[in-house]
Parts: sequence; structure tokens; C-alpha cells
Amino acid sequence: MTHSRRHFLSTGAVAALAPYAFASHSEEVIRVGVIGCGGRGTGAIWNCLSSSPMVRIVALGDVFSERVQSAAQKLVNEPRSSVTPETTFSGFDAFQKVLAADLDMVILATPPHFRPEHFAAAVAAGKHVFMEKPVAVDAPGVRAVIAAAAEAKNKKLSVVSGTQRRHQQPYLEAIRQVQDGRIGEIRSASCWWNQGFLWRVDRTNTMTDTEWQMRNWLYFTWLSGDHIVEQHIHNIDVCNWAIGGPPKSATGMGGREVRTGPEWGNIFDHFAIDFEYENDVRVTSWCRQIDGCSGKVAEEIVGTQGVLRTDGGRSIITGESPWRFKGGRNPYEQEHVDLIASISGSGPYLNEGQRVAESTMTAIMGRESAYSGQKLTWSEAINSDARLGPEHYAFGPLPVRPVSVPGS
Amino acid sequence: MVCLPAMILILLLATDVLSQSVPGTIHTFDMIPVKPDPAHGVPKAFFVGKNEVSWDLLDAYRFELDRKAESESSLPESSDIIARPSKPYIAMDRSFGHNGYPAISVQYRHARCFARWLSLKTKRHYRLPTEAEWKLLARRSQITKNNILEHAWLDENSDWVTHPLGEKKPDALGLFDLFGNASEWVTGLKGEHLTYGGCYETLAKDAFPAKAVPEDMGNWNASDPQDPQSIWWLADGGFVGLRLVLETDTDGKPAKPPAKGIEHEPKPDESPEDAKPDPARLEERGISG
Repeated sequence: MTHSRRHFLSTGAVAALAPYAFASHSEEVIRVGVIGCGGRGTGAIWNCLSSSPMVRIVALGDVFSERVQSAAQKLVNEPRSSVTPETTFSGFDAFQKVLAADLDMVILATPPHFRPEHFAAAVAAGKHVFMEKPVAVDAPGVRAVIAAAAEAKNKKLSVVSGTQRRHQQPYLEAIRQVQDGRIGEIRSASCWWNQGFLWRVDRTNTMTDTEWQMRNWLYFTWLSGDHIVEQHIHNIDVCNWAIGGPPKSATGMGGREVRTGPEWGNIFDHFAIDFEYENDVRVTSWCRQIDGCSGKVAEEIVGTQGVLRTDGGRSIITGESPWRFKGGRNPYEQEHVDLIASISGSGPYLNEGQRVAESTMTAIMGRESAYSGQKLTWSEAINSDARLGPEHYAFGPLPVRPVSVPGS
Repeated sequence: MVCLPAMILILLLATDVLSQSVPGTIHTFDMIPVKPDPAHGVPKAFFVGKNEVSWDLLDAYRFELDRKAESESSLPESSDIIARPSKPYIAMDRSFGHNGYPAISVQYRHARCFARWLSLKTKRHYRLPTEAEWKLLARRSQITKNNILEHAWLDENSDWVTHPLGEKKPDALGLFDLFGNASEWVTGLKGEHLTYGGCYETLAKDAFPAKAVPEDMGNWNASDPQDPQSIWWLADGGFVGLRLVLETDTDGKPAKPPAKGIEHEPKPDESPEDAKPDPARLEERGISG
């Protein structure tokens, strides 16, 4: 597996810089640690390295030692890595060891359950943060992230989250058009993440309950937040962005129609949520992970004078004043470019902690409404004390919470 | 709407059209015979798909619908090692449309593995077109810059989405969508991965005359956020599809797939781990965007 393509793939200016260029301004190095070295965490390493010649990767941590070793191995020939066996850590306390290393910035890419604790610890340790979405799986976690984001602001620490549409040019241009009134006043919106099944790892005889669940973290609400939180947050976040804030309430429904076996943990496989915002604006959110069904990953904002449709790389407005846009830089790199600019002072200060926490909370509110079958207000949802997951983390027995049944 | 002369043309051509069924599925598709052009690098006659490959057919491959449909599989034993695509982490049809629409977002190797699967299923030698073959189709299509928008879904008339196969006028060979809808994978003289034929985002002025757009994995799969990135799907390449050709024997009849090591056997650097996926690798694949 070669990673050279990662460094040359972007059409942006940074790609033109030789990886060695940083050496001449070594005083401007940004030392980066990584907590969570799975597919996304490792992908984020390359995105981060591609974003700026200032970046150096110095420490890695993951619960599973083979994950850390695998990531370290991939960095062996990377001139901007100073990762050594002494700076690779595994176990549930790996995050503390990474944060104790000499770092400026940390990438948080573990399963979402751990994010609030890791984010708070990173801010307490005075690190700038890139954290993957979602940033929590329950309301106590969301509140912890909001509190830590405020502390980060006091400490002038930069925080960027992995809701990369906020850094993607077709979205940025489209939201600007909406804010400039091209579709008139927003009346409603819809958003979708409908797709097929994702990966799953078979349980082996040697796996404890905890290991089995963590290796299949997508399928356990305590770890992922369920797919409405883990995946659909992207589209919900775009609606919150366009409308200007989170909703007042949610009435949701959902269930588990196809992924019914115990190997699929305890999450649902489909949700539909009616979100109510200020001024009678409504958003209908749809998400499904079932093979063989119609797919759609998109957002649609309906205004009094036009409709904006966005689906990743393209934005199209129809109506009184048609407009369309496509292209732009890989957003997974751009989010790191923007973060590095914030850290180094060459760009605006970014702290996305609060807003990504609000979008996470929006998705959690939708999930809890669908799980319970009840309408939930924002204040009920965000003030909930329902915490998911074990109090203490250890490999061993860990019963699976039953699948939620609406109305019971 | 197909105009009368075009209808007559289709009827005339229909006599030679080969209707291909796919064992284990409900699908059939039409292959149109094409005479050789030795002066331009096409020494042998071949058949070419009347349409780009549909999602219906690709789904049969990727979801193993052919196996589920048949208790007694028509596949030879070697099919056990057929690699099937990984789970994509977005809707790879981009919600443009699915049944009856061209399959898109497929990487070159994915297209080749599909052709290999189809060859094993049908016992006929399907593969991607060569560059010379595709250019021959373009020359004989009688499509020009003046009539291209009657035949092709392009930037000017597509609304930036794919359209159902076969909705535009067929060209002089009876092919649909050669110059538009999805771009089509083609193998270059030196094995290069090329695409030909415009797509729904191509301007008409760029679509004719047809020129190769080489594979650009840096941009076409840039926003797959995982490491390793997908070796099947194009996260940002929603415009890339495929059209297959069918080899002929010297007598002009459809050729059987090579007995051993089909031409499209994945190269060592492309595939072995796909055939027998490693769970840890699968786990890293395609998380969720």
C-alpha cells in the first residue's frame, strides 16, 4: 500500500510544496498526535500531512495495539513522522499517554463514545484539536463537549470537527447564496443519508464482549450513537447551518427491519425525523442502511423563491434565480488546511466545538425520539442525564442493551 | 421519442443483434456486431453493448444476486474466487436513478472484474473496449458537433444527472449514449486506464471530437476518507461508467472466455486480498464519510 498518492492528489497549492520544504522553517512545525488509528484516523493523518508542510506526526494511540502498529508501519517512510515505539500507545488510557507527549495538536478519531472525555482532556492539556464527527453519543457527552469548547476558546485553542461539508467549496458557496437571499426565505428542508450495509467483523472465540463490540462499534448505540448520529449528522448539520441553528423539537420514528440479528448489535437500520425549527420551519430527515434500496445522500433547502440541492460535490439552485457550482478542493484536506491556518494565525480563528456539539445533539434528539416514540423538545433532550456505555472501560463481559421499542 | 428513420435503422440492425441473457438473473442485454477496421488497430470483428452497463446488471454482480437466485449455480468452480465489490460508504448512484440507469462510480478494476464475472456467467469473453475499438465506434456513429445533443446527455441538457439508458436517439451503429450520460472505461494501447465519451457534466464542445480522459484517482477518489481507500468505488467519480465488448472468434462468432487465467485476471498489485478479504482490512474499509 503506497500513500504517495495522498500527497500529490490535491489540486491545491500545498500539493506543489515538496514534503521537505518545511525543513527550512523548522521553527514553524506543528507537532501532531493521533488518538484512534482505524481507517478514518489513519486517513486523517494523510489529510493532515497533505494540508501543510508544517505538520509532523509524533505520537499515536489506539485501544488496540495492532491498530497502532499498523498506523506506525504506514508512517515508516514518511519523512515528516517522528513516531517511534516510545511514542505509540495502546489500551484504554492510550489517549492520556498521547496527550502527555510533546504535541501542539491532536487528531481525535476513536469511536464517538470516547470523544467528550478525549476532547476535554486535550483542551485541559492545552492542545489544538481536530475531532471527527459525531462528538458524543448522549446528552451528557454533548454538554461536556460544549463546556470544553468554551474552555478552548478561553485558551485560544483551535478546534475543527470532521463535518467536512463546512469546509467544502460547493457548500460554502451555496450557503452564501442562501444567506444572500437567492432562494428567498427558508421554509423547509429535507436531508438524506440512505445507503446500503456497511462493514461488519465476525466475532471470534477469543473476543470478549467489549472487544467484539468495539471492533463492531458502528452497531452499538453506546459506541456510535446509531447511524443517524454517526453518519446522518453530516446532512443534519447542513440544515442547521442553512437555517442558522438547531431545532426546537423532534418527532421521530424508526426501527430495525433487516439487520435484526445479534451480530448487528442494537442500532436501528432506518429513521425518519420531523424536526421543527423557529418560525415554523421544518426539516424532514431520512436515513437508512439497507442493501437493495434507493440510495440518496443529499440535502435540499426550500425557500420562498427557489430550492437549493446539494449532494456532496455539487450545489444547484433552481427557481427564480438559478445557480450552480461544482468542484473545489478535497474537503477532508481543506478542513486541516483551515485548522492549521487557525493555529498558525495565518487564517481566522476556528472553534467549531459548540456548533458540532449542537448538530450532534440534533441527531441524538432525533434518535431518542425515534427510540421512545415520543416528541422531544431541545431542552428535554439536551438536559437528559441518560448516559450510554459502561462506567469503566475494560475488556470483559459487557451485556448488550436491548434494542429500543417505541412506545414501551 | 425515436424518429421513424431511426426505428427503421434499428430494425435493420436488429437482425444481427445478439441478445445476451445472464444465467441466474432475469437480465438480458443487447450486443451489436461491429466490423473490423485493421487499418486503425481493430483487426477483428467484435460485439459492443447497445447500452452502457446498467445498475440492474452491476447489482446482480455486487450483491451476488446470481448466487442467491440459483441453488445450483451456473458458475464454474473458479467463480468461488471471484472478487465482489466492497460496501460503498455513500450511495454510489448519487440518487440520480438506479434501475434502468447506467452504473457509475466504478473504478477501472471494478469494471474489469465485472466483465470477468460476466464472462464466467455467460461463457463468453466480455471485456472493456480497447481505445482503437472505442474510436472506431465513435467514427462510425455519425455523431457530429452539430447533432451531438440529440444523441447525448451532456452538461447542456442533463441537469447534471444521469438519465435512463436508451432515451436519446441511437447513433448510426444503433448504440445509445456513446457520447454522453456516463463516461466509459477503455483500455489504452499500453494498458492505460482511460475514459471516453462525455458525461452529464461535459460541455458539448468538449465532448466532440471525443478524446481520452485518463484515469485520475487523485481527484476521482480524493474524498474517500479512509485509509486504505476503496479499490472498487470512486468517491468523486460519479460520472464514470462502462460499456462492454464481446470478443469474436475467427469465424465471427462470440468467443469463449480463455480457458485459464482470463485476460482480466487481476494483477498481483490489484487484487489478491480482495478475493479472500481480510476482516481487519474490511473493517477499515468504507466507514461512513
